[in-house]
Amino acid sequence: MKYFKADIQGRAVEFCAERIGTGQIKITRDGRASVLDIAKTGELRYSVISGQQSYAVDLFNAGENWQVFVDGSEAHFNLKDERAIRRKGAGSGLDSVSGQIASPMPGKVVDIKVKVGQKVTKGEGLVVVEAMKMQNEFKAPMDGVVKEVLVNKDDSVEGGRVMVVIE
Amino acid sequence: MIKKILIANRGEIAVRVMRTCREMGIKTVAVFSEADRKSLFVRAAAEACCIGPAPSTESYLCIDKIIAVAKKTKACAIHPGYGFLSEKEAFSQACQDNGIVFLGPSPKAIALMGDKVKARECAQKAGVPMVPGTIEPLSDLNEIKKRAREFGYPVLLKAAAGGGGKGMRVVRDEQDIASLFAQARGEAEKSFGDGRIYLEKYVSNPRHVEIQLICDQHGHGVALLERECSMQRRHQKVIEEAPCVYLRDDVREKMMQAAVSLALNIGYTGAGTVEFLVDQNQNYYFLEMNTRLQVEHCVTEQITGIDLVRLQIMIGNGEKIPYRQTDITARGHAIECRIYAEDPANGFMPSPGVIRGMTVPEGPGIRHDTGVGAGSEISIYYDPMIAKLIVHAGDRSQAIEKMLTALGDYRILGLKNNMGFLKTLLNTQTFRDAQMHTQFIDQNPALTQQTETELPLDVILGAAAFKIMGEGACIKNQSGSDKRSGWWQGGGCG
Repeated sequence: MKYFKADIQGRAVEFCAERIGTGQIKITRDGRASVLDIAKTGELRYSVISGQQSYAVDLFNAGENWQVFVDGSEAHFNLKDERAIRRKGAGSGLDSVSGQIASPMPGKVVDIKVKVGQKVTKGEGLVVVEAMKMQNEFKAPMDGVVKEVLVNKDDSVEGGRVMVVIE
Repeated sequence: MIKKILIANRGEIAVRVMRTCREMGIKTVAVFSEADRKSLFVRAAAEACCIGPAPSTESYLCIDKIIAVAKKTKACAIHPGYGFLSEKEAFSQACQDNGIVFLGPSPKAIALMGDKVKARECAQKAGVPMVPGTIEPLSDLNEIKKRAREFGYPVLLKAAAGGGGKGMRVVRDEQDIASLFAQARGEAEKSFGDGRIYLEKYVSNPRHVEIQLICDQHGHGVALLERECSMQRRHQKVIEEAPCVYLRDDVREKMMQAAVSLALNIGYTGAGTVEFLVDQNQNYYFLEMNTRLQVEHCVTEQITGIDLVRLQIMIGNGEKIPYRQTDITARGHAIECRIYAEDPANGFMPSPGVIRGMTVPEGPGIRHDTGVGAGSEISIYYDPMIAKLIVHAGDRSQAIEKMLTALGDYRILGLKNNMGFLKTLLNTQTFRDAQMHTQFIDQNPALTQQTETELPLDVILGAAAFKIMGEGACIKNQSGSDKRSGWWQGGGCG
């Protein structure tokens, strides 16, 4: 039996999972238990039968960050097992937000909206990069103070280049 | 006869062109950058040559390198696809100079349509309606008011040197025109050092309707009906369809005639598209002509049953178009969605990375054009389009349902994507009622925020736990999918 914590659709969920037999798993959540029949049907693909309900589930994870497709919908969630919870302290949700703001694509810096030392709130615009004829505004991923601005207006940036650091 | 074609492009369009070539028994040559060594189009080609490093300025935009490959491989024709060199006069010229058939128009036609002022002149000569506007910049307020009354409000004050919305003001009422004119002029002077202002009629909430046409070398041209591409975000098309159910038959007829006569007037050959704005009274105005195959050509192919690439090649061969205008009819309705690796909730930020898993929808009436699959990388160097999903059904509402079902079956793991956003758009009453216009998405930013549906939590969490706890006896650690890819961070702006 294993204990997990998940952050899914804005909800904190705790549950226990127990393997029973090769293709079955018992989930206990909020005091209710349910048994699922699960088969891996391909790379990252699963068939789940719950009662008579059949679900096609596609799952991918990079560490604790998961992406799922089920029932024609897509969701992203965070999932920690006991070890991860102990490591990071209980109740920590999506806590590993990086303060380093990098451009995922090559482009040109067309505007810098902050200065070193400036206080910023989550969602506030920091830098505007033009790429593929589109202007993309990079926003603060969290509240903090601008520690470094590593680009100048009109600079060309390569993909992955860190432009602003927030602490 | 064309026996071998070099495709001067990459991704899905290269794959799509090669497919028709193979059907016609024509050999194919791919040119690729170092970043595309593992791309599908390289495998799909009979011959392939690397033409340089990843940045397109050092590969896909290098005319000399591409012509050299064509000569080396003895390709007798080049298909330019869309983007890159497809609308570069110099490329068409270089092909001509080297005795290679360019599967597109002449350098002259590209140059004419590529120049905004000349294109407007040509359109005017061909009798294509234009948004009414002044030809000379205006500075006298009384003159401005007089012309504005002629055009009818709302009108648009527009900087001669304009771009990016700077120096532009919409005037809805005469009493505001003096102050808005001063603002526009001030902004234009500050931004461009040029305070000249033009006046034109403002078409509010227009629809984008375009006519697909094709002309052979014998002066014969046909219009392959219209496409509607009004679902746009920041001038980029997101959903395209054919036909445009909003358009009256007589208006469609006139638009097709206008488009074909513009093309024939300038001696156009090959496939092209004349784009129009259509207002709420079905007045249509020339926007521009695209002198190439378009991304959204597939919806036209679905409803007409005509392979546009095949026609392009036939025309390159000097053959006549085997259709009269009256032969061209629409069957059913087709919709295309552009699937992008991007994050709609975060300003459509590109989300490059590796596609870890990809399940593609199948079934009658579904077409999927792509240049990638599971394991492919959506690189930072090129357009982050993953695929085009096209459906064809008996009528528009069936096509919408088919698209929603297909999107529901489509799974792309490892990247952020816009499929949820597309579903939201398809489900809006505005789209279902075919009442959309080009400003619709930008005017409704809430559409980009994912609406959360109730998910079967136990099923999801159970499957995830199953994966972590070792999916049965001997599958553990086989998938390699736990490698950190960085996809969820969305470039640190997440």
